[in-house]
Amino acid sequence: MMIKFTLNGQLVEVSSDPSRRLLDVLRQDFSLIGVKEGCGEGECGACSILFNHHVVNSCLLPLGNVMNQDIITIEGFKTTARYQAIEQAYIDAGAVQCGFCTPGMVMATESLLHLNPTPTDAEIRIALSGNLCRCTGYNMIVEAVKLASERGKGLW
Amino acid sequence: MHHIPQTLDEALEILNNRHYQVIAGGTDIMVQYRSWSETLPKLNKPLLFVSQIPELNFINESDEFIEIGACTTYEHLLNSPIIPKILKDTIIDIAAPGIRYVGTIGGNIANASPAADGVCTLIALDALVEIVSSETFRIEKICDFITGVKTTSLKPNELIRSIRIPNMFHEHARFYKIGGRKADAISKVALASVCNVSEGRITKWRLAFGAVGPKVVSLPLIDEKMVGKTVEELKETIESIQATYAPFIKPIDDQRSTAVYRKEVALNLIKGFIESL
Ligand SMILES: Cc1cc2nc3c(=O)[nH]c(=O)nc-3n(C[C@H](O)[C@H](O)[C@H](O)COP(=O)(O)OP(=O)(O)OC[C@H]3O[C@@H](n4cnc5c(N)ncnc54)[C@H](O)[C@@H]3O)c2cc1C
Ligand code: FES
Ligand code: FES
Repeated sequence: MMIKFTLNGQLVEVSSDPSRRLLDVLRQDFSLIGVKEGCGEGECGACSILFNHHVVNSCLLPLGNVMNQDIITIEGFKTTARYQAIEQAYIDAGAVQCGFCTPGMVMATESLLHLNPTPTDAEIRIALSGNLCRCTGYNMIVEAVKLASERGKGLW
Repeated sequence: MHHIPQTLDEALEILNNRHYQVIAGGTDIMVQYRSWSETLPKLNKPLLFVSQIPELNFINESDEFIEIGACTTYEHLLNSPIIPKILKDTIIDIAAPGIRYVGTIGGNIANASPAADGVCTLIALDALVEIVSSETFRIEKICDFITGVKTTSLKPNELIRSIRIPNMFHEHARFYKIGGRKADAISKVALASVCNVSEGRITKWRLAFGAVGPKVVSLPLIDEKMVGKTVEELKETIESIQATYAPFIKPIDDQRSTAVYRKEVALNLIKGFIESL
């Protein structure tokens, strides 16, 4: 079946099985390997992407549900000023160790700041609650989101 | 052949021709049928995608009901001013933002898990489901619609069109969830509880327990026995109230918890609710 959607700002058409996970379509058909597979069942957030600018787990998203929708991956987001602010904040807060969770964490961060540019600690923790990190212990990531929110005034 | 219909009529017409696996947000289906990484889900029927059908995406309010289209997502419900607080409190405890953005209330009901949190609260609110096929239309209480572990009265050619919640104010309405982790945890035990009091006496009483039986446990006949009592009477007889519910709370041991723990917690939640009145 032919499925059209917007991927990182460009209209794309994929001729494929609509039951395929968006995760696999992104990694295999578009070589967007910043999208990671951790658990494959919605628990870890490593596969997070922006679906109509809201964080969603691409391992649970069948291609059929993406028809005519807007998808942004870490690769597409990388070119923005918001990304620059988030990246620097993650570096400065020491929020990246092995990095496997990081693309997903960044997507969840953008999803939050887009709706709520000045979140409280509690709101940050809720926003990141679907993303697991085996390395940092989370506090540094929460710090990074706060830092991005403070420094990036006007960006969101 | 999978199908992505654009309208409700088209979807119902397709369902008349053969059996399909209906899929809305996919957050239950994609886990249930998942296969190896990088391979297609192992389905036994083709998919019928319903999440984008406009007639299944709406929230309306009348004097009688708050009506929610089956494919309304948790995110939309959270952002709507007409959704009762207890349902929003429940949704906040479901999964995480990424799943709440695509997961639907209709999917939670049709999936019929005994641990479905949305179902628990909707049953305590006496909600109804409206079920349609190309020829028929019927309305059923959610507690009757769900018939057992993961089974419902839905026929292969039917879809849930909407959920109707009686539009009334509840003085006391609380959702309690006990899970392994704050986010993304399936309930070990849940209780949705609703109570109205007028002139010191109970006028309405509903408890619905999640994850303590093959389906969400709702006991309207026992609930009715609380009607007419005073709040003080309830508080003085907590133990005997727990004892009336106890025989019907029959949890099992599974990977998430034990039967003994679940039962004790469920009974403690009743106490907690009564004490909060
Ligand atoms: C990590 C994770 C955490 C979760 N946490 C929770 C939780 O805390 N609490 C909870 O209750 N659930 C939880 N869930 C389960 C799930 O997210 C919910 O049950 C959700 O509401 C399912 O909706 P969906 O639209 O994604 O359903 P789908 O997967 O699309 O469908 C589920 C079932 O409903 C049927 N269906 C869907 N729409 C219709 C319709 N209109 N008519 C007829 N049949 C229909 C489908 O055929 C299927 O059988 C969790 C899931 C995951 C992956
Ligand atoms: S891989 Fe999607 S949530 Fe873990
Ligand atoms: S940095 Fe290693 S998982 Fe988060």
